[in-house]
Amino acid sequence: MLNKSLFTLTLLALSGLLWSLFNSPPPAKFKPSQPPLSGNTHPVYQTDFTSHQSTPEVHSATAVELADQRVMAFWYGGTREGHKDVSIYSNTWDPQTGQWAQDREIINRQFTRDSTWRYIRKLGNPVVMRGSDQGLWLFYVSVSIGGWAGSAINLSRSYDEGRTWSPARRLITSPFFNLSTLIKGTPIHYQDGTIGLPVYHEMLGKFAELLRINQDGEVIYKTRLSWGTHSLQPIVFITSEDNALVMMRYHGSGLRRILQTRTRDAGLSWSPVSRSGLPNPNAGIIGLNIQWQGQEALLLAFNNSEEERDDLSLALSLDKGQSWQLITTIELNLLDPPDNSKQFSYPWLLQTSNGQIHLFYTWHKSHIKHIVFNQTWLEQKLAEKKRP
Amino acid sequence: MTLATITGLTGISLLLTAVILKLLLIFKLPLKKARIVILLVFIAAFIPVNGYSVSLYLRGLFNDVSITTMCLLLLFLYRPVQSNIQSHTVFILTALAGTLLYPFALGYSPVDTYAWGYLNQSHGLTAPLTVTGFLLLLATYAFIKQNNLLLTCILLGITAWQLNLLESRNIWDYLLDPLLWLYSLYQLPVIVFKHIKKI
Repeated sequence: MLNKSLFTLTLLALSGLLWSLFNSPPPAKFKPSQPPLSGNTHPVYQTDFTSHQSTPEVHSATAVELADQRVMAFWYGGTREGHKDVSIYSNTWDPQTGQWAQDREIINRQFTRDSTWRYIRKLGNPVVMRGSDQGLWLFYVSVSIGGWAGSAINLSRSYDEGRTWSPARRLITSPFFNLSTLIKGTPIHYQDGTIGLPVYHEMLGKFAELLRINQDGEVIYKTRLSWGTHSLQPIVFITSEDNALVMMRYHGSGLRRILQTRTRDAGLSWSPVSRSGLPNPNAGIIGLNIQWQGQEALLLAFNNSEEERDDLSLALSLDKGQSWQLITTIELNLLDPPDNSKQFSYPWLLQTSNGQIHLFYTWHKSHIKHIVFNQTWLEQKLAEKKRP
Repeated sequence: MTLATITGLTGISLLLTAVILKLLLIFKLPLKKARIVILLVFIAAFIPVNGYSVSLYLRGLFNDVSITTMCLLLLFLYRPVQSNIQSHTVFILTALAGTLLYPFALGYSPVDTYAWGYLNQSHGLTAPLTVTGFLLLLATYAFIKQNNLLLTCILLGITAWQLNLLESRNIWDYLLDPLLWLYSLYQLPVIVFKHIKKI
C-alpha cells in the first residue's frame, strides 16, 4: 500500500517536473553589444592610477560605467594575494575632472560569510557588469578551503549605482563540493535577459565554461567551452546573435598561443579548441567589440610574449578574429632576469557611452593602472605602426 | 536567511550528528544516552561563536548535502543499529551515478553530464527529457522491487528541486553529492561481502 502511494506521488512529482520543463524559456540568442562611436576627432590619451595604495598588493581590476557617466572600478587588495585581509575595493572616476576619488572597501570576508552562510577563507577576482535589470552585478571569487582551485563564485548586486550592495548569494556551478570555479572575463547578455558568465575551473582539470544565469542570479545552464588541462580565463566576443568567438589563456607547454573556439548557434555547441596566432605567457586577456571606421571590430588587450607578463599590447581584428594586427604596446619593461613583481597583467577593457575606451590592468602588483584613449588615438597608433 | 540556507545548514548538521552518533555507538554508549548527546550536538552545531557556527564552517568546506543524503541520515538517526537492506540499492546506484558524474565534472571529457541536470529548455529538450526518463525508470524499478527508501529519495529529491530547497537549480545536486558517492564506494565491498555470505 505504502509502496503504491509512494509510486503514485513520484509519478505526480515527475509530471510536475515535466510541466515546469515544457514551460521553461526556449534557447535564447546572443544580444550583440552596440558599441558607441567616438565623438572626439582629437586623440585622447590619459594615464593615471585607479588604486591609491590602500593595500600593499592589488590585482584583477574590473569596471563599469555609472548612470551619471562616471566610471566605477573594482579590484581585490590586501597584504598579499590569498591573504585573509583581502577585500574587494572600489573607486570612481569623474570624466569631467579626469580624477579618481578615494579607494573604498566594499566587500570583505565577513560580509561574504554572513550572507552566504559559509566559512570564507579568502576573496579573489571580481567581475562587474550592468545587468538587464539595470542593476550593477558584481561577481567575485571566494575560497573556503585550499588555494584558488577551491574557489566558488558569489554575486552581490547594487541598485543605487554602487553605493550599497545586496547580501551575496553563492552560485552553484560544480557538483564536486561546488569547488573550483573562477571568473575573469566580461559577462555577456542573451536576448531573453539572462546573462552569460565566462568561467574556468582549476582543480585537476583546467578548462573553460559559459554559465547561463537568470534574473534571480541562479545558474540555469552551463556549456563547456573547452576541456582537459590547458585552458583558463575565457573571454567572449559576440559577433552576431548566433556567432561568438571565445579566446582563452593557455596553461600548458609547447607553442604558447591564445586559444580559441567559436559558436554558430548562440552557444549551443562550440568548435574544437585551436591555437590563435597571438602569443600568451599563461596570462589573462580581455576583449571589446568596437566600431572601427564604420565597421565592427574586435579590440584585444594581451601580453604580447610567450614567456613573461612584462609587455602589454593592444591588437585589432577587422575580420571577427580570423586575423589580428598589433596596434601599439602599452607597457614594456623587459627585465633580465624577469621579475614577476614588475608585471603588467589581468587587463580589463570598458567603452563608455562617449566612445572613450578605458584600459585597466595590474601594474607591478602594487597599483591598478588606468588608461583612457579614444579611437582617433588608436588610429594614430596603428598608422605609426604601419609607417615604414 | 532563505529556505535554501536553512535546508543547507540542517543537512550539514544532520551529517555531523550522524557521525557523532556512529562514534558514540562504536564506544558502546547506550542508545538512549547517545540520542540525548546527539540532540545537543545538533542544536550546538547552529550556535555561532565569533561569528562561526560548526554547521557554517562545515558548509564552507563541503557545500550542501543532497536530499538523498538527508533521507539516509534521518533513517540512520531513527534506526541506528538496524541495517536497511533497501539502502544497499541506493548506495549501488549512487556509486554508479557518481562515477559517471564527477570525473566528467572535473573536465576529463568534452561531455558534461552534470549540465544535463538543469531541467530547462535553455539548451533544448533532449538532455532534460533523458534525465526525466531515467528518473521514471528508476522509480518504476523501485516500485517493482518494493524499495520504498529509493522511492522516497527520488520523490523528495524531485519535490525539493521544485520547491528550490537547495541553492542549486541542478537536479543532480538534489539526488546525490560527493560525500554520499564516496561513502557509497566505501559501502560497495561491504554489500558484496554480505551478499556472498548470504549465498
